[in-house]
Amino acid sequence: MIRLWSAVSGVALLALFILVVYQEVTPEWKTYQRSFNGMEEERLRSDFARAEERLRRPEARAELAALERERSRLRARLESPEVQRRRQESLAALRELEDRFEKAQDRLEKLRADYQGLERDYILAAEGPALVALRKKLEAARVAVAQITAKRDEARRQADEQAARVAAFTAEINAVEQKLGQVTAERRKLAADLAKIRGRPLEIKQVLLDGGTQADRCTTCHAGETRDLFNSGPATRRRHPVFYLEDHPLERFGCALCHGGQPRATTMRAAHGRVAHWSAPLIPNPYLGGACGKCHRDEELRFEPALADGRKLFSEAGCNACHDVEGLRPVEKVGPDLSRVGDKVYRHWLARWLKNPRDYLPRTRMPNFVLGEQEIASLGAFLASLRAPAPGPEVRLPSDERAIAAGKKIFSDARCISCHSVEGRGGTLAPELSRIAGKVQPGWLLEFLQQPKRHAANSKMPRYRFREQDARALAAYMLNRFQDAEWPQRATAGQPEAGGDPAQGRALVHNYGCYGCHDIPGFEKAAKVGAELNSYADKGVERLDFGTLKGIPKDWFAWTRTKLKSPRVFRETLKMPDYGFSEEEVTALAVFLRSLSDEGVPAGYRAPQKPASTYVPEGAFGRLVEDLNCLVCHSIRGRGGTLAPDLTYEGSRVRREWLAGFLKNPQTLRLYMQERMPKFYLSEDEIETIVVYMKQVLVNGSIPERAFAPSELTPTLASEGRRLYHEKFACQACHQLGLEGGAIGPELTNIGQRLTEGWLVAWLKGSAKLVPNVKEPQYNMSDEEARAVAAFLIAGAGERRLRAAR
Amino acid sequence: MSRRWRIIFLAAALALPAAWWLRPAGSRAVPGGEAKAQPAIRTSRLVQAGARLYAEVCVYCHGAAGDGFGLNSPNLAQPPRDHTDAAYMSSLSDDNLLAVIKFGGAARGKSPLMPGWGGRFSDRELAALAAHVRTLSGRPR
Repeated sequence: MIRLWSAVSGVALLALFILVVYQEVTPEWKTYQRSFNGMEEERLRSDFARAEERLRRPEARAELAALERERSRLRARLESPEVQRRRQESLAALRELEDRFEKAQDRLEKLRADYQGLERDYILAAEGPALVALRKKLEAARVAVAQITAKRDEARRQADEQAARVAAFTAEINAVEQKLGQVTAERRKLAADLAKIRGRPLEIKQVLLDGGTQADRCTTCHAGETRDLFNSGPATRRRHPVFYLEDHPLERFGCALCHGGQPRATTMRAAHGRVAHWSAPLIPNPYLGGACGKCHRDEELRFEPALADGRKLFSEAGCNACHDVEGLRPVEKVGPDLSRVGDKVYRHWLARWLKNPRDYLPRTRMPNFVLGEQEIASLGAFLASLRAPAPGPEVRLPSDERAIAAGKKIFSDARCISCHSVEGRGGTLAPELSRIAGKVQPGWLLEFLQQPKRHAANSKMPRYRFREQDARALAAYMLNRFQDAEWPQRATAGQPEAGGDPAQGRALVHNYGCYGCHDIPGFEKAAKVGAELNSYADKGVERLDFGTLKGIPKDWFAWTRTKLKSPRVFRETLKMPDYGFSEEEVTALAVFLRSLSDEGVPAGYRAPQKPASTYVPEGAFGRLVEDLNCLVCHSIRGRGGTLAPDLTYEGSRVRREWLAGFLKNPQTLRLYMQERMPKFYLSEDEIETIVVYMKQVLVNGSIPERAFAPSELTPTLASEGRRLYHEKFACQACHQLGLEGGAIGPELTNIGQRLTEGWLVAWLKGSAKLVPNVKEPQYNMSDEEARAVAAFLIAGAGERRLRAAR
Repeated sequence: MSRRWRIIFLAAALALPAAWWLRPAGSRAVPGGEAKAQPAIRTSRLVQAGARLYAEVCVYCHGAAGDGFGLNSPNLAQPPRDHTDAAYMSSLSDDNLLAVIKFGGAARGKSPLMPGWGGRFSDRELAALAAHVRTLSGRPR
């Protein structure tokens, strides 16, 4: 019995041993590579069969047979004794001629050497009979050289002729053989390729990055990545989209730098990084853009919109108010200054706001902190205590119909809804105004309309030059018109709200880090409350706290998504507020967060970051730019907003008279846009300051004010321009001229009064060179075309006069 | 040593390597490591990029939905093409579509009011635009 057991277990152990050894010597990657080679071979074999098939068709066979017959006929003829004899004779003659040429060449070289010797002697010889003799000798040598040169050339010519005669014997047969080769070329090439595959060893393939310290072995299994064989099928044989490889050649970037995973490994599970303690598993498709952001840290990549969106949202939502991220441009506090919020809003409004800001204003950036009743009361008490040291006199606003009507006119003239919205209609830069009467106190509103920055230094509101009574009328109109149905102003104004402990409120501000987004007195130097996120993407899953949450995959992506969607779901004590991000926003943010990685980025691979613009407008103009907050909408030399046109070259662009007129009374140039330049009620002096600065400083040296001499603006040129405008470039599709044309680009009627001639010509030749990210198509007009179209536009209304005069 | 012990020992000697060899595939991995609960964002990156470009310049005439009723369409003498018209769009070859976007309508005998975007966008961007336009008529790319 024991013997039987020993025999059975011995055999079983041996079998197991063999199996284990077999498994070790046939690794996974060999299977993939073999399968790829097999498929490639199969493909070649079928191509080969098809080529054979083609050759086997009757007409191909007939052609082949005819060629082969021709070849044997020619070969037989060549090998006949008569032809052979003649060929041998020919060859002998050729050898003789070559011989003659060689001899002449030798002789020539010798004579040339002699000649050079004589020439040197002649140059060095003194005057006298010896010199005469030398000259004669030299003359004779020159004649000899000329003669032998002629002889050599003749020999060469004859040898070449003879060579052609020799070649003629085999010319026909060679042509036939070449044709035969062409007919079977495809088959031969395929046969060679097949032989190559059969001889191809199974081996680990690798790309070495960063001076050989990082091995990337992904192409060992993903054999099809760079070969143009299969466009579909499993990832191991599919070809990589060419698109990314063009700029990122495999030999320099490998695979894992972008896709993640453990590139050194050679089994699928390990290589894809789905093993314990490997912090960078394969990045799933929606987040792949994050890998681009590892090197392209501040570029907006056209082909990775999610990365650009995520990066923008991260700043705009104020994420780095609490979380430090190295290399991110510092942004101003995203929320309003609360230094005097007690003077600004009613306390009942504060309570309502803190409960859930989005209930009051759906598009606000302020997240929901999910505060309890007691917390809201205490925070309200603390915030209401933030007031000016000495309260001003109580403000009485006019309430008569006339003042309110005047306020209404100012509200519309000043174009408040360019930035503010009323019942959801209007701009998105500034707060909604439709229920403002239930929120702000009259005294604050009046002061804010006149001196926006007195309350909040970072306010984006421009300082309008309102007269005292106009500001009062405007405030009266707003508080009268924009009532809050739920909180009638009269019922609550001045009523102190009960409860709440300011000291506890202060502690809450500290706890939640409100000062990250708001300026709050006493917290100027407080540290950010959130975790710093440098290299956040490299955080291993062991370092992510899943807390009490069950039922989500234990990986970085699931954790990040969950955190962004419901920040406090892991533990009750977490502080991060609820932003209510949509699915797309969560994805975009996760893509951006995935880019916060140093994993595997070799030195020198990172795209250099552009230095931030250091432009600061100078002097009186600078003070106006600050006061009017021009750079909220406009940009100058890389600083400022993107809502309104870039002003870097405004002085070269527009004419002085137009600029002055526009600043006095802005008229919109783009009818379809909701946002329009507000009317600031600037004084003559202020307008002059702006115009002078723009015309002197904000200019492009290569653009002249005038581009045409008066005699150059001829009707012929203008009518050529008219043809180009309408027929070749079809500008009327987007621009209005007179009463005709589209309404997307600026209106062009009387454009000669707005733009300088030089700008118009330069713009037509290539507007993208003048203004980055200009929307219109780029036709790159020639100088002549641009001048003709410009002449037509400048003539504009004048053209009719030109025609009438003819 | 009793016979029973010997059998148990032999069985263990057999079972241990067998267990190692037959170990479940997931035991070396992080529990639940295969991330399955990813959102279903399957649109290709090319189409996504194309959609942005479309929103940037094309929508003014062709409309946000691509149906040809853009803001500017009433101003045009020839109505903009309806990109959701599957019958028409499928009759258009990729080359033709790309050529119209790159060189303008006039280059292919279509409305000259359609400008050529070759000077404004790179070939990649044009390919992305074409890919997005294809999706508007429901033809998945």
